[in-house]
Amino acid sequence: MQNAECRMKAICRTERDCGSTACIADGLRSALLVALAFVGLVLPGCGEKASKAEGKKVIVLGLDGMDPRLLRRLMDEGRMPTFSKLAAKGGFWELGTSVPPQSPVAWSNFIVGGDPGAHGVFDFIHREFEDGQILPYYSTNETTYGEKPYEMFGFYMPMPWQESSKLLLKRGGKPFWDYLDEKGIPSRLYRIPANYPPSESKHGYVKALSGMGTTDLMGTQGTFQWFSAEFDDDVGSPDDGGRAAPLKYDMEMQRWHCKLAGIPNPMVIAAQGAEMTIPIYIEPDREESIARISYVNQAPKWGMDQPVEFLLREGEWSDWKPVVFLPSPFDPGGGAGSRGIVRFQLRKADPPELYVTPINFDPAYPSGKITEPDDFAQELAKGVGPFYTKGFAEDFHAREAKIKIDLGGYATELRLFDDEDYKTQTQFVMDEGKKLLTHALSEYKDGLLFFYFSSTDLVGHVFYWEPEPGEPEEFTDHPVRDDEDAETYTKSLRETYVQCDAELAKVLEKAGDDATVFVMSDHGFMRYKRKLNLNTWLLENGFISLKDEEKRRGSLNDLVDWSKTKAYSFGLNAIYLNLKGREPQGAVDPKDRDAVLREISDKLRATRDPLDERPVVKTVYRTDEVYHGDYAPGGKFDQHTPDLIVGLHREYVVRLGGTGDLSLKWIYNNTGEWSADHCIAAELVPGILLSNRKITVTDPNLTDLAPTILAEFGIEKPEKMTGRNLFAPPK
Amino acid sequence: MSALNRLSNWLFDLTFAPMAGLPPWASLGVISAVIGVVMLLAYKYTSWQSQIGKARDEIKARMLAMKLFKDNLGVTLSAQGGVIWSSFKILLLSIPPILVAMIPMVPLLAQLAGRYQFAPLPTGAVSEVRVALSDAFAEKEQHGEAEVALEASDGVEVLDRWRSGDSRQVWWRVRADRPGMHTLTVRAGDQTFTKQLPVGEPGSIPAAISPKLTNHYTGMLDNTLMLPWEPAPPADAPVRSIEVSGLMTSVAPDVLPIPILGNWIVYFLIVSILFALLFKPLFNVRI
Repeated sequence: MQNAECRMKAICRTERDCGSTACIADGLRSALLVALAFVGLVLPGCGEKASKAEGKKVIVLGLDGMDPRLLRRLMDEGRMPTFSKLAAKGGFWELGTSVPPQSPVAWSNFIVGGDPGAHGVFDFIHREFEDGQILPYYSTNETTYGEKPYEMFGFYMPMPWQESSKLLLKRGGKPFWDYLDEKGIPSRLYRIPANYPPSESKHGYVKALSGMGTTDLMGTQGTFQWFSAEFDDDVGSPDDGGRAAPLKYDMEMQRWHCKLAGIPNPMVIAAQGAEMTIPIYIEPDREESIARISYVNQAPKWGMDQPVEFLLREGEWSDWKPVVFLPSPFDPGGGAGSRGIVRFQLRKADPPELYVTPINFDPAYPSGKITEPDDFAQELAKGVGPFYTKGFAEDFHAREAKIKIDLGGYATELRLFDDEDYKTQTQFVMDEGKKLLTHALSEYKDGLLFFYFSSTDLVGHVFYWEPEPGEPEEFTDHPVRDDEDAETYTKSLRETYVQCDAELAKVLEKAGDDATVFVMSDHGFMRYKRKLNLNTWLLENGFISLKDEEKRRGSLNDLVDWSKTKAYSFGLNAIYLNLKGREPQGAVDPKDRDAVLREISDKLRATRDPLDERPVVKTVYRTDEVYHGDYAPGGKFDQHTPDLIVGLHREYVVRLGGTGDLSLKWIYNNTGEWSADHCIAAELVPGILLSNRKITVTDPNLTDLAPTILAEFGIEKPEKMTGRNLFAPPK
Repeated sequence: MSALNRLSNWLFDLTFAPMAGLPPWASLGVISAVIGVVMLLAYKYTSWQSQIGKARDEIKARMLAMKLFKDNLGVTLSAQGGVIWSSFKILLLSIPPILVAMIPMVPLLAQLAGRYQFAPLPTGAVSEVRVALSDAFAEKEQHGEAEVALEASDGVEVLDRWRSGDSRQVWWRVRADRPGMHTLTVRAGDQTFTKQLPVGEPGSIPAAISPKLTNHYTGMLDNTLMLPWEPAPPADAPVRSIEVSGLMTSVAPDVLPIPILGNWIVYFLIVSILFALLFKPLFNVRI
């Protein structure tokens, strides 16, 4: 008790003694606590792991689909001085591409330093089996569905302990930057293809923004929305993806309205699968071709709803606008809702027609994992503002979209983008890429920097119409364009190449004399006039049997008699045997595998175009011969590996198989705007490789870049990589 | 009231003048620190310090009693009651200084909001000037009996105009081509109304910025109080409000990595509290 009294006195004495050292210390302690809380909030955002690259720099500029012949032509014309300068310093080579030469496959070859047998990506589209059915999925990522949520009062209530749906990166193999990560060498990867969701950096030295393969907010590879006063309720969907919906007039409010579709509502049982929507209002001016577009974003967490209002002239594009889809006030996603960004194009003012881009993730508040680490997205948003996060940012679906409507008794076809619209939209993507590259270079100190441009590919698919070797330099025989248009628009692709020259100049300036620089593309390009439907070919050659000979329209699952089917095509270039023990309803005995493969290969090689008797197929690749690794036939994970890859001659391209329509002829004229491609024989469409250093091999390949980059940082080639070090002294 | 606003504007312009060259986060940091210390002193001289000190001592004593006699239920309960009562006393004793502080704080926060909540329009950016018309004037305009027009000073180009179906809303898009403080003049019939349009980099305009002038508010949140640096249209004017879009929030996002600190008022509170606590022992203040 006496002790307690003493302590009481001691406190009172101290309190009376204000202004003393002890009292000042008390105040300082309080201030320090506030300061520490402040610093504790600030510091986590400032952390950057110390580089062990010791100033070594390797910069890779990836230009998807840049064609060596066109590049050479432009260099010879003096239009790409920086490329010429780089080629003079080191060299310019054709770069061997993947089998098949499709971007996800090719970039995966680059990433793991091996062929598809090392990473398991064989095509844009892969197949999986569910209840005996063959279903497609995008080859580099897939969503797995979690446990069904509990049901309460008419709502789904997902609980924290339940397994939720997950997005998985399906590319196998170890990416080369993981080896750098282990050694403490920083890698910055911007728009890296075939890496969505981005692979984890175990040691924190990798910063990656995912590129090709990244979905939109809906989880698709790009769903634009098209609204028109001329559509009615049963307008249907455009032919080539995207959505269409009517604009309706509200007499009282004197404005048009429509609903922007978002993600499915995960909570409401009655509306399971139904999308959350945002009402959009369009108010045209009384006289001018201008309209106000407005909508309201519900506020996630606390805060007020955010009205979004802006003006657009006819034909004008908005900048990026936020859209927020909030499942309910009791948002299970932690109150963040699902936030995305879109751009609007007012195609007509009155009566209005509106195009809305696919809903991209908002990098400032990403609702999905688009970067590694997660906060890298915000760092980029802070540096450059909002940008296309979707993989296929160039909206080629909108270029091909058309809808048939009834106008006063007359059937009319409405088109969405014309060539100029597509050119404008692809330029937006290019401009954002330039801005991002400038930012990337300003942040780059040492280690690896990879930067990717997609427009060289997706502008190429629609506008490439270059003369083939041996042809006169004329623009003739385009499937849908006259000579003048063909020339005009292939020139716009050339302009895209020329823009890359200016970007390379920025890279070289940053690189200085010490850095190793690579400029590379995953494949080249070739125009085409004829399309091949592999499944119809297999049908007509007796490898596919139908349940009903009269029924040819629909999916393979519905049409095919699997018990008599030997092989089918799925994706673009792949043929799968209907092998017993692997396929759900296999019919080919494994001991007959070789014979059937030989038979298909021989027949394919002997196939002639009925139009002019030209050979259609240049090479048929057996995957057990050209693939090496765990995903190759006979490897640990060969369940989904195709058996044959079909490499077509120039001027031909394969139509998408799998969900293909067997009512189509096996070969027919191309009548679409998509008039150039690269999914043919790999040897016909090599990519490009330029470097400021001379390489020592005569036939560089995509698979060689990963071991070369590792060697630049003093890391030995890993056992699983089959590529070579391009700078290694010749043996 | 307008004379008071003029005085307040003049005082704050004078205060901010020496900090014109500083980035916004730095000038706001200095102002917040000074205000924190001044408010601490104001608290000291407007509060009953001896009673606050006594109540705090009582709390500490009772906390100690609870610790020492934790086995004695009667003492513990009595001490808990005492802590609550003393805390309530401190709360009551804080009310007079808070009420006194509110008088300078409202115009002070309005002035700070004008300088830190919004940034000038970036040079080359396109903005919308959104004008709401009164019902009576809108009807005249719709019937061609009156006109509404926008004029902009040199350096700002008026691009295009949009009118709602009922003419109550008229919007113009303008492009800011040159930095500086520009004037937008809305002509509605024979009356004119002006709105300032700041153009330039964040922090380059030393004067206060408001995105909107409106005569919609009433009572305490009247424009006279909250938007002291630009006169709002009178209640019976043909123009009800003039708003400029695209004046972004500024200050912290450019310098601090945490989004929450992007809000100037959070930044202001943290810095001012930090300095108030730091100077508390020096000025012998009991809070």
